[in-house]
Amino acid sequence: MDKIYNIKYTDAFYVDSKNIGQTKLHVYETYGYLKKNEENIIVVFIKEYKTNIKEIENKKLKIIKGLIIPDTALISLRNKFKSNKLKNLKIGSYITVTWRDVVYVANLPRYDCGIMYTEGILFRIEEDHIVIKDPETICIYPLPIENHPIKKPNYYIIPLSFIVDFKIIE
Amino acid sequence: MKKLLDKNNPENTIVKVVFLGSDKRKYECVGVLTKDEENLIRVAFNAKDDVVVDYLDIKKSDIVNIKILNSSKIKRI
Repeated sequence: MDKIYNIKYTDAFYVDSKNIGQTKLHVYETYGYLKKNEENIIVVFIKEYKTNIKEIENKKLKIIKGLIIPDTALISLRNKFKSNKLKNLKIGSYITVTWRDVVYVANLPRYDCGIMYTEGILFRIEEDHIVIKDPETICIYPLPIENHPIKKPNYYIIPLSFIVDFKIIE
Repeated sequence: MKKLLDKNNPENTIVKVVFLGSDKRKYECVGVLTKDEENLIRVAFNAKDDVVVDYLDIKKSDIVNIKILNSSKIKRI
């Protein structure tokens, strides 16, 4: 029988308003059946009766409703994954950031996180997140590549623990 | 059906529900019971800063089985 988990995690988000004020990561709490798949944590809220979470992935069955989170999103683990490399970046630099994103799944055979690419002006570096101003973000995995969101927001707030790569453009 | 939600209990009531979907197939879900009315229950799956952002309303007539889970048996990560 699948075990039931209570999971606390964080997520990236964007802001449309021009004045951003203080920023803080949100804390999400969820219950579900759980399976770890490499660096991805599959959380299933609704499944077909009498299927177990291992066979959902092994047989490529649809997740009726759930989410996939990067392991680095877990509140209990995120301090382990903090990147100090970004701490020395100059505010106002134009940067590109590649990061892993939480994915909400409904009726899809999906078992891994999205990968996002954001470029924009480094506006702020906090203890656990960065703020990028005038960001353009695209989802680069899975295909097709598309803007996320379609209309550019004013700021993107990305947890440091989500970031897998970054570059300074200017 | 007997009321399962005790509004005086400050602890979350965690439930596992087997129910019939609109396609008449059986499904199973787990979450926090946040509403228990005459004809339906609400099972919350996800909350953002303690505000529910994702839930499912299930008609009581579609419930095949419902079980309140002992919170000590739930793994926390």
